[in-house]
Amino acid sequence: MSEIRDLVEAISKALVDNPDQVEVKEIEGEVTTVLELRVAAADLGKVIGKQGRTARAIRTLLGASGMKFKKRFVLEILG
Amino acid sequence: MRDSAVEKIAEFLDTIIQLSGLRLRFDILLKPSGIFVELSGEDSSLLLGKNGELLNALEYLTNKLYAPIVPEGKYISFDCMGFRNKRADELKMMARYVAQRVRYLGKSFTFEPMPPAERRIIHLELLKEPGVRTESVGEGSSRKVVVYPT
Repeated sequence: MSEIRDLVEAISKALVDNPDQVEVKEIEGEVTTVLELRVAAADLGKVIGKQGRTARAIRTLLGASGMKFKKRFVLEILG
Repeated sequence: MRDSAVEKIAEFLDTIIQLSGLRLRFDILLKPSGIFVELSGEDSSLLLGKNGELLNALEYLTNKLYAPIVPEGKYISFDCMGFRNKRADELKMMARYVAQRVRYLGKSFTFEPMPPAERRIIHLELLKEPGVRTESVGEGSSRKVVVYPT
C-alpha cells in the first residue's frame, strides 16, 4: 500500500458522487510512478473540473509530494 | 453547523498532509468574513513557489469540496507566512509601474495569466490611476489583465 496511491484515492473519493467506483492503480518505475485513476463515467467531470482545473490542482499536489518522495508522479485519468 | 464544516476541512487537510509527505501544519480560524486556513511548517516554501501554486491548489480543492457546507456561502481562504498580503503589495506595485509605462509609451501592456483574486487587485489599483483603463482577456487559467492607454 502506497501513500501516494491512497492520496489520489482519498481526494478522488471526496470529489465524486460514486466513491465505490474509484480505482487507483499504481505503476512504479525507477523515477516515475504512474497513477492511473478510474472513476464512473458520470464522475469524470468531477475529477477533471472546468478547464481541467481540478486535475491540475491534484497534479500540483503530486508534484510537491514528488519532491518529498524523490519521485515523479504522473496522474492519468482514464474514463 | 459551522463547526462541522471546520471539522471536515481539518480532516481533509490532515489526510492530505499525512499522505503527501509534506511537513506542514495548519490552523483554522473562524471570522465573520469567512474561514481562514493558515498553513505553516518546514515545507512552506513548496506552497509558495510559482506564485503560490500549491497554496492555490489546496485552496481550490478545499473550496470545491467544502464551500457548499460552509454557512452563508463564505469562502475558505488559505494563507501561509503572510503570502497573500505580500503578493497583493507586489501586484499593486507592478500595476502602478505598468500604468506609468502605458501612459508614457501610449501602448497597451498585457500581464501574465493570473487567478481572479490577483486580477482583481490590479483592476482596483488601476482605477486610481489616470490615463489608463484595464480589461481581462482570455479564458480560464490563461485569463490575463490588459492595461490600455485612454
